[in-house]
Amino acid sequence: RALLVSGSGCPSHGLCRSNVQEQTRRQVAVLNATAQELFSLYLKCQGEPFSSESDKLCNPAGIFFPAFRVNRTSERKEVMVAMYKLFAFLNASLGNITRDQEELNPTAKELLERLHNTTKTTRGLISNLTCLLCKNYNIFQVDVRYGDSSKGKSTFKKKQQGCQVLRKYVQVIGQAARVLLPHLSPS
Amino acid sequence: MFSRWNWVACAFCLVLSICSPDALSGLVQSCGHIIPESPVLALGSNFTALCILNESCLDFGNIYASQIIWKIKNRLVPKEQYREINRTVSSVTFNDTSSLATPLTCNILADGQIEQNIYGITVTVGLAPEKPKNLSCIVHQESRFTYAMTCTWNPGRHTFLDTQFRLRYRWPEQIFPDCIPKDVNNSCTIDDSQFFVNTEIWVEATNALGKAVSDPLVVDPIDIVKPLPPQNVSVTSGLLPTVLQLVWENWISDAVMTLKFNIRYRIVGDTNWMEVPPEDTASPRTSFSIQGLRPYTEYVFSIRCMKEDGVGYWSDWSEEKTGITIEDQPSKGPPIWRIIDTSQSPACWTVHLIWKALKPYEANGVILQYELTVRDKSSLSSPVKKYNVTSTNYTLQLREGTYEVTLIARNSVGPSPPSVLLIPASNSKAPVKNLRTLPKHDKLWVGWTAPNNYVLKYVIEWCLMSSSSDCIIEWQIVLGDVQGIDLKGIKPFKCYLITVYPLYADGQGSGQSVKAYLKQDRPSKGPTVQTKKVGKAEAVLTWNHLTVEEQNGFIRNYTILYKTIDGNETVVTVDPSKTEYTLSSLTSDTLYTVRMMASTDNGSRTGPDFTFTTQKFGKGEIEAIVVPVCLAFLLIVLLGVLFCFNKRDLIKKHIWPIVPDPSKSNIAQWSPQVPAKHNISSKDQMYPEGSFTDVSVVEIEADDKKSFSEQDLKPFDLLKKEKSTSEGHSSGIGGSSCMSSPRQSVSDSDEGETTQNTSSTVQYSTVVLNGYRDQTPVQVFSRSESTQPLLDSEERSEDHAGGADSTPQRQQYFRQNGGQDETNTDRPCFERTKQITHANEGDLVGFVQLQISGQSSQPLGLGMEKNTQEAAVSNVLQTCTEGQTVRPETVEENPLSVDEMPKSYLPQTVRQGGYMPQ
Repeated sequence: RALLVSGSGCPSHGLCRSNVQEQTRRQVAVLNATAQELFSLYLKCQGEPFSSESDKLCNPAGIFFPAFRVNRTSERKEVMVAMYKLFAFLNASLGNITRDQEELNPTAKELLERLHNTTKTTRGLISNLTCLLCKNYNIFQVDVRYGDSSKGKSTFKKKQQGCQVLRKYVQVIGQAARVLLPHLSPS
Repeated sequence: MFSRWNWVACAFCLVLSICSPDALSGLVQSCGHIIPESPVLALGSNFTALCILNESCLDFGNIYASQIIWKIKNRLVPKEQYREINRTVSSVTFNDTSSLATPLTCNILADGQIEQNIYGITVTVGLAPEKPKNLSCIVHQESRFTYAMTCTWNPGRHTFLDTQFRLRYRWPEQIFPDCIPKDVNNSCTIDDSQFFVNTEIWVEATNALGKAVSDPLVVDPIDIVKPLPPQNVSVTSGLLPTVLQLVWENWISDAVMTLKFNIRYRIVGDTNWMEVPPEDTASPRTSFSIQGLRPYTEYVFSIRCMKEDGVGYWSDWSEEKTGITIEDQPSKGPPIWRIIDTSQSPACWTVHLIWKALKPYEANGVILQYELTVRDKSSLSSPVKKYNVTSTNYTLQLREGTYEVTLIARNSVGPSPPSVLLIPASNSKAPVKNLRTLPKHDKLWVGWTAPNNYVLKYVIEWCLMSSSSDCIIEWQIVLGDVQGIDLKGIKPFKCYLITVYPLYADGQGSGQSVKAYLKQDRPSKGPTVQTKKVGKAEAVLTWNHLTVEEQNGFIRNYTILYKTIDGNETVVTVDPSKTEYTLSSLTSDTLYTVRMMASTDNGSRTGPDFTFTTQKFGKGEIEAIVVPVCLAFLLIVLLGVLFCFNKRDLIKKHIWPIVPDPSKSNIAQWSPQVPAKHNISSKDQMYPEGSFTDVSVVEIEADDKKSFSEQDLKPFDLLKKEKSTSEGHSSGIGGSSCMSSPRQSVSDSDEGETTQNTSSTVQYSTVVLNGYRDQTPVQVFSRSESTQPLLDSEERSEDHAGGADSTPQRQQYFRQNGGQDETNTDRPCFERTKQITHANEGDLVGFVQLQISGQSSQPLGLGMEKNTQEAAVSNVLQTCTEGQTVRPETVEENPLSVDEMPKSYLPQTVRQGGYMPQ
């Protein structure tokens, strides 16, 4: 499935300012800074066996997660596209997780708050990446793959899927932050 | 007639058309309508409406567009604004919609008279929305992850229409739901703002007349954040007495936003905040050590934060937290001073040492005790005396001398530096110069010029002066380089006595004093004036000084205001040191009103009025009048006396005629037996030569009533009865008896029978009732007004007579013979001796006073009227007053013969102060 960057022109040129790169870096940094806390809190809120068997239950090997095969030496455009794919996936997955947790742990306010905040940040990050891709590289369309929907799955599966995504998210976001640093630092 | 019926038919048809089955099937069908329907019009624009009539109405009622009239409310629109487009359409045009009102109605005039409404519309007039201006936004942090963005704008003019405002925002590829203001039109809050994304924000205002959009605001919400203030602020004491550590938590992670801080602090009780230099807290942190604090002082801290780069807003100040620094040694010794009392003995002092407790920033802790050391400098052998005191004063008994007093304050950490006070024998050193004061708001500045010598310190004493209590001294010590201080706690309108002592290394200078007020007012009362002395043209006024409490300031002068009742007021200014003043040039015998006014720099107050009246005469004037008058009177008296002395004979003759003294009468030489046979008329035998002629003496044995015949005694009884019953008779006699006792009065006393009672008085008036010897008694009233007392010889005679009570008292009658020779005069004269000369006295030696009692004597029958008698006396005076011989008084109305005429030798009162001889 592909996420279409609407139209043939860059949207809202007035908003694609020079500070978008820094904003993007700060967004990644925020996600990186909060990812581990989010994951820990998620595990805590899911109860047993997730809190004690997280390594086993949350192993993301069996789930789809976008490949983030870029490094500091990668092209900037390539990094930007990879990040777009990553955060498009994460935004959708976090949306699903948030929806599931609102159903499964409606009283876990902090978790829900953090999930909302992270989701919102990824949404802003996508907006900024869209702006960068469009403005800097004239990229209007990027192929994006989303994960499996958790709808209709069991509670355990929902929890496990969320756990697996978040664990992978913690790993990838750190990498992304490191990769993005030289590319998005103020010149 | 036809026309009328025709119109009635038309109206009926019109009603039928309205109430046709079509109309009855729904609502009432109108005969026309207006276009546009309920328009919303811009204020000030032009507007045209059309009224279109239905064809059906034309058929039934002959109604045409020409009959249409337009109305606004109930006001007819001028026909100039109408236009008949065709026979069913009429238009009306308004050049300015501001003249429009609701409803606008289309009407017809049936038959030119009956007005029938066809249709009406509602017209709304307003304004299109203005472009919202001044759009600004702020992101309030509400919790760790929640940020609400509130945007405000200026909505512009009032549109008079329902206008919707909506806040819109978007990201580059995403538009969010609009934010609709609630209850306001100038702000809206977006609950979920996202950082690090450029967000375009704008405001749209929409109403029936249009839409207006504000200029967009593009902002990253992270740049307009007002974060929550740091939380969980705590203060901890460090190891140093001047350091406190502040610890807090931030609401925002550094990943989202790094912060800088402001830290402020103040001493508890102080209102002034101090602030940590901003550059010291410009980096992200969660703690800070505040240095340079005072030991053992409680501080209040507060902190705030904002985005590190300074873009955005400062948070509110955090809640205040207090912390106290640890103790340190006192930083200085307590200021010490002394009051030396030498009243008991000049050689033995009572020294009151007083010192001030250290201020908290000097004490640096809790002062546990004061260590006092006294060393006698005049005697090196004297031991040093030490005292531990917990109060701030100590009293010593010292001999006159020089002492060094050292005071140390000690807290839990250690002692203070010592304070040294030298108690000198005398204050002989140089004083300060030019001591002066100056009020400064609520403080009183005291300044002085330093003496030429080096001064270690100055002691400033001041006290509130009072007329009723002692001056309670307050004091302060300042360093020697200070030449002025502000005295605090000074009350306005109160007089303070301020004294400054310089303290030298080797002694103390004498004090210089000055009185001062922080603020002056007019006196609270005026002086009460009164007069000390009032003269003819001057008055000495006196008054008392106002008490220091009443003065309220320095009395600059007294003003005396005085005036008469109707005169102008005179004003005299008097030096304030005076308590007495003499008003001069006053008008004599005039009422003056005087009052007195005391003045300070800030006003005056007048005392009560006092009135006084100047004297009519000046000092010495009365003496100048009285003394000459007295002298003149004395002179006149003296002259009168001299005159009288020179004319004494004449005066004596007129005033004091010579009364013959019976005691000196020579009747005693006569034989007692003679009178019984004595011939009254033979005066030559009795007075051969001399002053007495025709004096007969009748001896009567008073007790020997038996010697009288019954006939002789009857008249006595009658007389008694008459005198007891007749007041008329006695009243005349009573006049003469006023000088003697009633008992001595013949007429008033029944006891007059006894010779003892009557012997002490010579009766000059006698009523003689019985006739002489055997003669028929004639009631005679004779009167004398003489008050001449009895002569001594008479008294003695009485004594003699009284001493011979055992023997019957003999009453002797003497008779003055009026018997001038009957041939010489036709009128009998009763003579009596008025004055007895020496020659006569010799002749009268043998006389024995004869007490003549009314009861025992008989009248001589001289019953003449008094006036007549007086007249007769007057005549006698003319004829019988030659020499010292008393002429007999003439009785004209009883020209009795010598034998028959009763003879009386009683003295008679004459009219002009004399006893005329009868």
